[in-house]
Amino acid sequence: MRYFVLRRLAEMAGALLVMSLIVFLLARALGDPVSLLLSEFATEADRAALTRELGLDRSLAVQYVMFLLDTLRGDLGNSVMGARQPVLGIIIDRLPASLGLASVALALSVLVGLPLGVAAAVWRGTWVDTGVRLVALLGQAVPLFWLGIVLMFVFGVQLGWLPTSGFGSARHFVLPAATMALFTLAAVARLTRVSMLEELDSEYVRLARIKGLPETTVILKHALSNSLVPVLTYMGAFFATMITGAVVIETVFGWPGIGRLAYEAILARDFPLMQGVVLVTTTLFMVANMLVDVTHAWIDPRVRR
Amino acid sequence: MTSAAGLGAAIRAANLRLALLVPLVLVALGGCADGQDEAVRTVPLRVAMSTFSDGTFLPWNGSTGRKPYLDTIYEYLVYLDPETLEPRPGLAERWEMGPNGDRFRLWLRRGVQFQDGWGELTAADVEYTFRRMMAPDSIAGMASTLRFLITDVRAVDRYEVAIELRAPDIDFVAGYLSNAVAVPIASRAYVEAVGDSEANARPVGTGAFTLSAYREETDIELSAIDGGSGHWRVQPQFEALRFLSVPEEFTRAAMLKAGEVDIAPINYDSIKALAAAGIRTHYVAGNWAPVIRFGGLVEGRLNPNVPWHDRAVRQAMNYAIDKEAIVRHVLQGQAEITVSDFPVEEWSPLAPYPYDPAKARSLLAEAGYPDGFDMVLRTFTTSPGAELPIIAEVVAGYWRAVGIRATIVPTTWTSLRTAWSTGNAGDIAWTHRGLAFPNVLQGLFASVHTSNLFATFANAHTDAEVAAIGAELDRERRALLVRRLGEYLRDEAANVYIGVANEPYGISARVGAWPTLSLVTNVDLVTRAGD
Repeated sequence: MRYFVLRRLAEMAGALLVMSLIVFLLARALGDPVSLLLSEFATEADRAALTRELGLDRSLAVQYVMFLLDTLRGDLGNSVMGARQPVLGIIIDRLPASLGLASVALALSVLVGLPLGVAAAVWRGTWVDTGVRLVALLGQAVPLFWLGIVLMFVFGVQLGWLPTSGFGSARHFVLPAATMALFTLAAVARLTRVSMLEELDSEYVRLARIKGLPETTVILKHALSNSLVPVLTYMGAFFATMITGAVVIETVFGWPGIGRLAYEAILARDFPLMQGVVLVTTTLFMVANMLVDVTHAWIDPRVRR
Repeated sequence: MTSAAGLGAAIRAANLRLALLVPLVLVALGGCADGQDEAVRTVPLRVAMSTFSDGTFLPWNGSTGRKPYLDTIYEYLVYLDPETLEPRPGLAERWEMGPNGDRFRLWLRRGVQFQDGWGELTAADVEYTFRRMMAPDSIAGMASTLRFLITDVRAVDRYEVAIELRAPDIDFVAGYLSNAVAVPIASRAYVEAVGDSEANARPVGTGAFTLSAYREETDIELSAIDGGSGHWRVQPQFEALRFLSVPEEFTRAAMLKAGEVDIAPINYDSIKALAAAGIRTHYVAGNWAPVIRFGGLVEGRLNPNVPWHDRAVRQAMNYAIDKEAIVRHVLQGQAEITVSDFPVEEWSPLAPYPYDPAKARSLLAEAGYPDGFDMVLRTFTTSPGAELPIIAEVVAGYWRAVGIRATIVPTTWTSLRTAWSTGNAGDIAWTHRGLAFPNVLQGLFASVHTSNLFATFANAHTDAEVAAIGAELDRERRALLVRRLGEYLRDEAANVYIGVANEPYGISARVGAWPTLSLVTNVDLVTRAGD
């Protein structure tokens, strides 16, 4: 087990190194921030001075090595915008908003998706099954920005039940989390249904029924518990995506999260911030995956080989 | 009879009780209403912005996009008269221009106090602020211009400031010291005592509001000092302000309808829907100019291979477009057709290009393009300027009718700006929004001077004209020179002009009046409805 964990950590470090190079090069392929920071009255002298100040007059190789060394020391550099604050501080400030939103969305997905999937499997072939599959299809097909706008209009403007946007109270979580949850909920419902169908057809379930166990016990205690593994695996991996990939939802709802931060960094060609956000979110994603893998390996030793 | 008398007595008694009770109930309700009024009055004025820009709070560590909230904390040396646009005393009581137009003296208002007990505003604060604005590490929008323009700023004595310019500019005071730009005055003593980081976190100015709370890209809360009473310049009618960062226009419109925000920039096509919901629209007059710019027309960066290198082609591209239709249908009538790529008063009377597709075809044929030509038109959205992609589609349609086949390529402002400033936009045209400048010389330098990275039509002639305008000390003569340059740019069809537009803001029923000018949108002047 120890060897498995160490191996995964080494793989993670290698992947992060490759990712650092990719994001470093891609960021610079977009163009530099100097043109964006210059005022409308700028001259070539101003451009040259700002380029020097930002260290962009050095060769790419030198810039990368310095970036790598600083990162290993825990210094992700300073943003080129505004008060030029440390990138790590900016990310840490914005991360809780994204973590909170993703957590609520995930909880919603599980609380709604699991029962729907179970119901679809238990009442397979009935209108319940059809309904759940339709909901799952729509959930994965509906564009999130459209859904967000519709929910905002209905619940925020027409009914006035919830705030249309912003951040600060529990009520502010509802609409963006519901928007974010729909896609995951649909996936959870489908996965749960498929997994449950397999388990309900298995011999141990037949045995449990033959033994005379109540159907509720058969379904919830035996079939469901065994069908959760793929669902949990998916949710674990998707959680990191929910944190980092919510730029549309964060923009529509004015949510101050990491997704929006990444988008703003790209628009501003803020190299240090772009690199920092990508590295931090990649790390989060890899840690989440690793935790799932380790949990799997712990549960099923065959996975360790 | 006894029963009737008893009933009558009972009725009279009941009436008496009612007569006593009703006023009590009314007073109680009135008290509740007063309490409710009080509650309503303490609700802050909520202003939505598409972005906080840098979200910083010192004059020199961010762009002019921060003006809406910085202008409530800090103040300016002069304020523009909303009717005449003439500079009026602000922190400076009076000023004088030297005989050559390159030296200015300002005398400060006495007794203006910085917040939190940081002492009286003095000339040392003005000198300090300007030096920080012009310092190499300043990222203020005006930094480059001030460095170019000003050779010296010094405190002559406690209340007198001397400013020397590299070249004369009779509009220096209105153009660079007024509330239409972004050089508000900070406290030297405070910043030097606590350092930039702390001063940024807790800004101190002379304005009527102080920063109460800031959550990055969420909201900025400000509260009026002493409940808004006793300030020398403004008596705010809202005791608190709350700026909200709301990047999406649909969301801002939804917030207006839901009563979550009081002032928000909106798109033209939201105006009718918001009016149906009881939200009125306020227009900041002449705040921006939709325009189509050409690449490759700056001396030193010329591209002779583009069709619009020929003046006749550029003129044809102007004649081909029905600008009235664009103003009517896209900008909801909220624009004046002009030949300005940024709002310039002296250019308003100049005759614009009429809609004449036959003349356009004739000019194209004369220029050697009887069958038209292919080109790329880049477009993006910005604020103001969400309509630019629509304008691009409309313009491309008009051009197609005369043979010019424009491929519209959506892009971002940041990508375009990079290409533009690095000289890599020589073979494209793009939609753009020209913003107003408080000093026409600033705008001219930015758009038609060859040394400027963002110039689009510039040559030795325009350089000379700009220099002549700067050197002219007579205001009327200067206006004539500006007009002459405008005529030249129009005749050269330096851009494809549409007009000068008013910028729409949705306003809630809580807002009374909001005095605004192009570039000046002080929310500390907003009044309550019904007051």
